[in-house]
Amino acid sequence: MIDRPAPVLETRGLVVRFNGRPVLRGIDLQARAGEVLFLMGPSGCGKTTVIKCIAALLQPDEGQVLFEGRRLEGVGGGPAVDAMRRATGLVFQGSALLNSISLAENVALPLRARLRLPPAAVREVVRMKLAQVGLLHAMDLRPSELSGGMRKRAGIARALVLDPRLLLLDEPTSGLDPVTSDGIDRLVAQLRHELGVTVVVVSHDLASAERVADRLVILGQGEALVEGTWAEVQASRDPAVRSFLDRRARPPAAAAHAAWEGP
Amino acid sequence: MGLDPEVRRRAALLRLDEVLGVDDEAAGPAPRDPPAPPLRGALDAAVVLLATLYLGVRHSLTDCLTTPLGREQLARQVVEVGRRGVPIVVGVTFLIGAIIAIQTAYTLEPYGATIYVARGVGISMTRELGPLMAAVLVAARSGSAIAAELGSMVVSEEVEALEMMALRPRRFLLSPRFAALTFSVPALSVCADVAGVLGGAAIMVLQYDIVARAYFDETVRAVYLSDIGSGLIKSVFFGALIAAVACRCGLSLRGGPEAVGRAATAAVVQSIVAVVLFDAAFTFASRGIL
Ligand SMILES: Nc1ncnc2c1ncn2[C@@H]1O[C@H](COP(=O)(O)OP(=O)(O)O)[C@@H](O)[C@H]1O
Ligand SMILES: [Mg+2]
Repeated sequence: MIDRPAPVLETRGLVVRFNGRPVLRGIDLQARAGEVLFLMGPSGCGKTTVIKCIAALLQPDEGQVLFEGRRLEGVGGGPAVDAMRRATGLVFQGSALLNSISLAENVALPLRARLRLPPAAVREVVRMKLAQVGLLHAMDLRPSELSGGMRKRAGIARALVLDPRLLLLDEPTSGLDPVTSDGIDRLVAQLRHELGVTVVVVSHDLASAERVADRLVILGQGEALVEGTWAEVQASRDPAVRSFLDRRARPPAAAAHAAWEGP
Repeated sequence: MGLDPEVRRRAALLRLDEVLGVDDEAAGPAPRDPPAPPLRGALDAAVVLLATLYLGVRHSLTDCLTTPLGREQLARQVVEVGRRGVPIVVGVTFLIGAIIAIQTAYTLEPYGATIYVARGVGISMTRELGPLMAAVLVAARSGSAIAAELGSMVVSEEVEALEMMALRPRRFLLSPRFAALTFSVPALSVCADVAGVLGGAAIMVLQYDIVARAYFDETVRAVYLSDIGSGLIKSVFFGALIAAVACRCGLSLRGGPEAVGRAATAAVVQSIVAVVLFDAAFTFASRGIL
């Protein structure tokens, strides 16, 4: 058997409790170099919490996160955390752009914070990244002047500006129109194929999982219910997994009905 | 130290860990414990406030001056807090100078001593009312704005986004505001002193037939540099206090968008109380009372 590439990112037994209520009960994930891993599950199941633990913005109660083999310790930082953040682009669920400055300044901020580049070079990189997400025309607008989809794309441009090796996307396509979400899917595929970026995508979007994901993990009740390729996950018999996957098979109204009425 | 875990986490964000002696590991767990009982909460808040003050004093200038980003943020805040604050401070203290002149003239007129109004206005403006009114107006105008801005940055995860870019809240958020306020409040106090004296002069010249020249001569005779100096020294502390209170209220915000308004209100109330308490302590101590 050929060697699989070492995991870029690994979580071991993540446990997080909020007010004593366990939200994650031992999550083990692995993302290998150049792979697109989809993290799926109903809302409130702890996907964002996993992402925050990976980015060391939240300290798990138990368990650990390893980035490129190094253990991340403490929300306060430290060399391993800083090295991880330097190499990671995070797109927040709510975009988290700074509202007091323009789009171009937002995208320039990581560059200016991390590198000492001449202003002309910063401008050049910013224009390139904004062009990549189709927002060059909006570069002088404030985040509050943009639509939700534009903000999301701007968040992606900001996350890409330091050419990360790991990209964490928290619901990049939720609430977006199909054309924009297709564009984001294509961008993810392109980053993976051309630059070998490892991508972790939090999503509800089964269609885009089928198209872009190398592997999927479905979370439920704070645990990974199933993990594997699209085909492997489709073969799962777990009722919670089935109810998540089969949403698509039902007509939307019936699905909504079922969701409200419960099992 | 037996601090509330949430306080410890916020402390870690601000790099207060070095002050509070909690290591990063201990500072970890995020908001997940029930809120502390009220008295503990107040004590924790006081500890964090003192630590915030300490960090501001120790780091704000180096944080702001050593990087282009820091200088840019500082300049922004000086314009926002200082320059934009000038009209309101000048307007209000001009009127206060005029009011004091009228009230003092009312007591002195029977003795034909209205020229001494210049002394009363000059000394009370420079020693007390100029710095105090500048501080109260800055607390109302900028203290609330800072708490609301930082609070909504916490809510919308902007603070976490900054963490990802290695822009620590202390360096990037606290320090520029702290430096800007400790500089701007004294600067606004000078404006307030001048405006107050002018307000007094306007009343005396227009209503009491005092020659402007005489009014200003009397002011210069009565007001010593030490009066102006003691007012300015106080106002440096006022600025630092307002900055620390406002940043604490914003950055330690818990809950969602509805908490932002509360943080802004708390910042105004707490910073005005802090300013007046400090003013009382400073004045009592310098007069040998207590
Ligand atoms: N800061 C917090 N304090 C308390 N509970 C939280 C906090 N953040 C998230 N939770 C809870 O944890 C659960 C998982 O949240 P989250 O990870 O955001 O879910 P998802 O991203 O999958 O929709 C939710 O039930 C949410 O209410
Ligand atoms: Mg989420």
